[in-house]
Amino acid sequence: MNPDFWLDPWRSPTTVWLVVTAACTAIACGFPGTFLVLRRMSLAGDAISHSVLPGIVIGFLISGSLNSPWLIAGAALSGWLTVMLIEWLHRHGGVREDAATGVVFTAMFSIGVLLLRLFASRVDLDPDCVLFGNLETAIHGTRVGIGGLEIPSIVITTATAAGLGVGFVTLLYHRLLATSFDSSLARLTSQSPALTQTLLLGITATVVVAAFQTVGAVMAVALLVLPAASCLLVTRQLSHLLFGVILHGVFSALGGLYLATWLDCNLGAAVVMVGALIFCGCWSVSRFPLGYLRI
Amino acid sequence: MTALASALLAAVLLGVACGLLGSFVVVRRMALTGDMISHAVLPGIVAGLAWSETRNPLFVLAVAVVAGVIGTGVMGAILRHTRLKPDVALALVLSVFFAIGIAMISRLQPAGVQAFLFGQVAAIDRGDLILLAAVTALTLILLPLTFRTLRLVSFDTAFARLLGMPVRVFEIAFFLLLTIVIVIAMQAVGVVLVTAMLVTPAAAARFCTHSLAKTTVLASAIGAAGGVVGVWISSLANYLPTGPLMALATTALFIGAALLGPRRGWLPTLLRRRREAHRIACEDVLKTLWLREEAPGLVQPLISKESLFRSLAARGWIDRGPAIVHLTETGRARAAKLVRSHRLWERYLTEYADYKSDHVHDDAERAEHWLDESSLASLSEKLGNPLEDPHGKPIPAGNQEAAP
Repeated sequence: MNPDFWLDPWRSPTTVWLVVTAACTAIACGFPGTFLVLRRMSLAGDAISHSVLPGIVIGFLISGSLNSPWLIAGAALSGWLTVMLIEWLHRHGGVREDAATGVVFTAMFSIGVLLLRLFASRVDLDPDCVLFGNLETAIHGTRVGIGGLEIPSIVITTATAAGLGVGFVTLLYHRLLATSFDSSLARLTSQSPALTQTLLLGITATVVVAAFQTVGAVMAVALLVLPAASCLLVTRQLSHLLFGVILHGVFSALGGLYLATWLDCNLGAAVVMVGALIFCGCWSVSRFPLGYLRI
Repeated sequence: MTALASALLAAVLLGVACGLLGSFVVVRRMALTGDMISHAVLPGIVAGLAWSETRNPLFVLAVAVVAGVIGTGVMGAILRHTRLKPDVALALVLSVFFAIGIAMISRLQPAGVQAFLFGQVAAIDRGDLILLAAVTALTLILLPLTFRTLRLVSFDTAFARLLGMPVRVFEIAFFLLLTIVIVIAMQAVGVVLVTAMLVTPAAAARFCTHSLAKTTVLASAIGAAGGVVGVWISSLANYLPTGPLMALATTALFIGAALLGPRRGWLPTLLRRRREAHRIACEDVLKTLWLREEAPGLVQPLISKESLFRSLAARGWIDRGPAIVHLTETGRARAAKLVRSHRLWERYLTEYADYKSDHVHDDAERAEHWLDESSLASLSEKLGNPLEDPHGKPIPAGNQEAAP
């Protein structure tokens, strides 16, 4: 193949930042997402990714900036509120879990869209961003100079999110492991499953905020679920799984760059599509008798 | 037709169609499958809009349905051939198909796709309205005709299959109808809030009634009302988007149903529990008075509230003297029935359930409030009309004034 195709994208100085941002977003989402998948809570991830919107808008109204802790606090709060409401409707209202999820996350999302429209003049958030983010425009946002390097602030945001995601999982590794696979043992050894779950949902809401600007609410779900789902097809060990999540994120980001160049399309969507291709690859490896390829 | 009138018509039709189908979606626990379909049809919609010069709604719809079928097929394949769980398969298909749709949008830039993403009731034109009316009419005709079968298929698929019903045909027909309604509803409220149109009215209706038939009627009424209110508010404040307003109006109705719904709503449940607690407290007072008459020497503690005595006296079950209360004749009969229930149940537990005679009191203390006349008669017959309970106390006779 034409070597220029592989080299061309790197001529632009922003390319490195694009790939770093995409990879950081994917890793940030992939780590908490792994435990959502293992706990069969992927749809809670879906609900959270939509319902952080009101929190983001309110956080923005308070702070006036896209990169402030208020945004994360608001998002984490509204994500937590959503899950609590779903749980409460399910426990005390007798509404089935799927129906409760459908009712609550759509209501939260509606509130978010309305707030966004009501304060359109004061919120510098592209309404398109709600459904699909735009990495290319996000990268051209404000820049921060660190050590003589002009780094786009979105890179710092997503890298922080990735650090938070990885740090959270590393710090609470044993607790997450115990509560995900054997919640009664976890309770016996006083590693409160409820607290761990709340923390997991909080960190999910936090990383989703970072993903919001780059890929949007819906594709954030893909970044949460795809890495873990792909790796689960080829390995059953949690440490391998998490390592695979990092690889999946990096390769989706790199592949997404080329796919987006080749198709001339939205980079976030391309990253997700490459992630889906990796999923298909893992699937075929798991289907065909290539046992030695398994990690 | 003015813009407002056609928007209102669209809201009513959508509310009815979504309410009808949504009831089945909710009872079949497919709430998030609806969400999945609305995202999975996006590549089809974009392709349809890009390929058709005239944006023929039927063509767009057909391509969208094909995409929906592919999405559902992929989900089925993931479930069959991998050990991934349904929630993961659903989230995967939903987000990946949406990503494909977004990639196609950013490359092809088709006109009119904004309406499908964010919803715009004004985007529903004459052709869409006719299509929507036809689909709603079809649903309204088909549903009563196939209601019994559909209900059986929804609640007990395995049993329906065992009876030789064409379950597969029903499921496919339901899926196609659902996909069509979702694609049309997307234009009004947007890709995310279709779920609100489908799920929220039906979930609200489930608070109000047990019967599936009533649920469908009520859900379509709630859906239509929410839609109309949403369109109306948005016509007053032009800059506000209709979709979220419709969803929030429906959610408000949901909250109302959750608070006041006769079946499971908060207030009716609370009142029901209060009433039961009051009845049980009253019956306990009657029984204590009866036991005092039975064994005057033993002091039966009677702890009770003034309000209980008042309501017992109002029903004519007790006479209230200045310092002492007596049972009236009717009150005595009622108390005798309670004691009879209590002692028969104790007898039953010792004879049939292998309880020790000193373990039966607490259980009977609860059962006495729930046994009715006919079950008492059959219980007594089963036990051979016993005269004494396991502790040797007499069992009052049924249906007559019991001598204390």
